[in-house]
Amino acid sequence: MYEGLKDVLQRHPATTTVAYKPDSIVRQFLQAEIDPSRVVPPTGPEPPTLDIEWRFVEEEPYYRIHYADSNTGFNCGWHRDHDHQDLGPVHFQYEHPVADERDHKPAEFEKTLPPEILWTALDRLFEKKIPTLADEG
Amino acid sequence: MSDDPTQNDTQNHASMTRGERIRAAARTLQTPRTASWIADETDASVKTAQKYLNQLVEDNVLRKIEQGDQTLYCVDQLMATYREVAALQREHDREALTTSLESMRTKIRDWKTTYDVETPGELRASIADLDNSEEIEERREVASEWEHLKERIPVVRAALNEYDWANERDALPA
Repeated sequence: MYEGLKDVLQRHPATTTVAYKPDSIVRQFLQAEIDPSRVVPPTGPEPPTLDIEWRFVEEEPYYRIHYADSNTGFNCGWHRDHDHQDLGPVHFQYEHPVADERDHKPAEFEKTLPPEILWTALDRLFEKKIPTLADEG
Repeated sequence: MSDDPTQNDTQNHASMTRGERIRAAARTLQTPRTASWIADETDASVKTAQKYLNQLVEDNVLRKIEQGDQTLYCVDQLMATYREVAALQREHDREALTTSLESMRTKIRDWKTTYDVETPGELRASIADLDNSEEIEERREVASEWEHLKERIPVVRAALNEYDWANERDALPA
């Protein structure tokens, strides 16, 4: 499962490294480091991270595509789980401690296969979500 | 801020060629699907999808299933597991695998004691009786990790079972 997702992460222009967490034996999720200079608005000095966790329980997918910037505490992502069933199967959540803003919203993806969902999420993340939500202004 | 209207997705997958995109997608096919479904999912023509899917069948990455008059493709789970086992044998020494296996088993033993349950399913079911949101979240996270470890333990155990034999075969010719 993770090899196809690792391919996608490694090919994305914003990522510098991709590793299994907690390690390459347990392989619970993938973590990519993001080049701070490729993010709008600019961030740093620490590289933000992007966690990708994907599991199937009896063919039902559960996933977490979550971006976190330790420089500001801003974090956001798409989760398919049972945490917010009132919002439907998938929700987008974000938290901006500096601006004291946080929210959960329903979300959807047109595609079904994990690498296709991940591509779409990465596009939304870097082109729309971070530029709109991570600004401290 | 509005949610995510799918029609606004840019689908900007420029850093991957068509073939790479089909290959990445195909390697996650849990459910058997037709070439036409995969083509639609990866914005490729059916002919292009078929070409790459058949290559992946040749490479033992996918299985081809004939069902009535339909040809379906899905991940070759047995081969995928063997590749995982071989990767563990090649990348880690016996001690690291043994330590990791023991640590995963200990975690599960501790969860059984802490939550007084035998399975991650039982732990999830116990959430229904709780009100405290932190406790609920903690149990969900533990159940999720437990489910993952249950799948991972047999793979690590398999890597250890034939570790020396694999090591001999992996030795480079002198």
